[in-house]
Amino acid sequence: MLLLLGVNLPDQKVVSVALTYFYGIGPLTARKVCSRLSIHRECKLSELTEGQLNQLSSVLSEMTIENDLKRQVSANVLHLREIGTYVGKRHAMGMPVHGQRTRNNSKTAKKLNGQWLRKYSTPARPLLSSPPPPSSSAFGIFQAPLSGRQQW
Amino acid sequence: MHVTAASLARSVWKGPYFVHFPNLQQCIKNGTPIVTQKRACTIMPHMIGAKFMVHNGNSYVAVMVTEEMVGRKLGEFSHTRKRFSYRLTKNR
Repeated sequence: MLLLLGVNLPDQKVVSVALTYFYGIGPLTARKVCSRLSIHRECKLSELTEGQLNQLSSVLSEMTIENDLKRQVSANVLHLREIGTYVGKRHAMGMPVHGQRTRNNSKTAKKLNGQWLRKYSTPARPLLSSPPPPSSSAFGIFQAPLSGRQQW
Repeated sequence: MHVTAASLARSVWKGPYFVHFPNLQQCIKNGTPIVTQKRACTIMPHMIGAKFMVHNGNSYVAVMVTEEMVGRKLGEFSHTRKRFSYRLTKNR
């Protein structure tokens, strides 16, 4: 096993396959990274030289993957929830977002959508209140992701 | 890298779809709500601070437009479905 940017990668696998062990890298992105570093198709991870590995890690560190990406996704969902959109509401309810049926199935959405939203029980901003509520007092929890969003 | 579905939905040259509300500036000043059924209207920057009463098929839901809502549609903020709650008898 090879430890690269905090992820254990399998040595015996082809590089483009091994790269998909990262959260945020699928087959297509993995192939693009490989072709950028001119790593041939059937090259195993164990066959890479030290220099190639350094190149690989430098390329990967520029991309938004793993925890950065997870944080970005959850911040986007939280933003939708805060401003009170339908999509954000569906996330918080743990229901499918794109208009799928909910009579049965929708197992994936129930499993994945808004688990972390419900854990901390974040209420939506009351839309009916006439003056916008002072953000510092009522939504102090949300200040951190809100201020961080400006930089992206 | 990929073109999102939202930008594929409408030609760029058309610009965003929005409705011209004739007395918008006046309503922002006075704080009087604009009653509308145009759920598909995109929220534009000049609508910030306005109050809308957006139709959800049954009633008009109050929507206060803030800066973060720009680029979304009015209908996204006026929910059309009630949560199911079980009632013993229908005739009540």
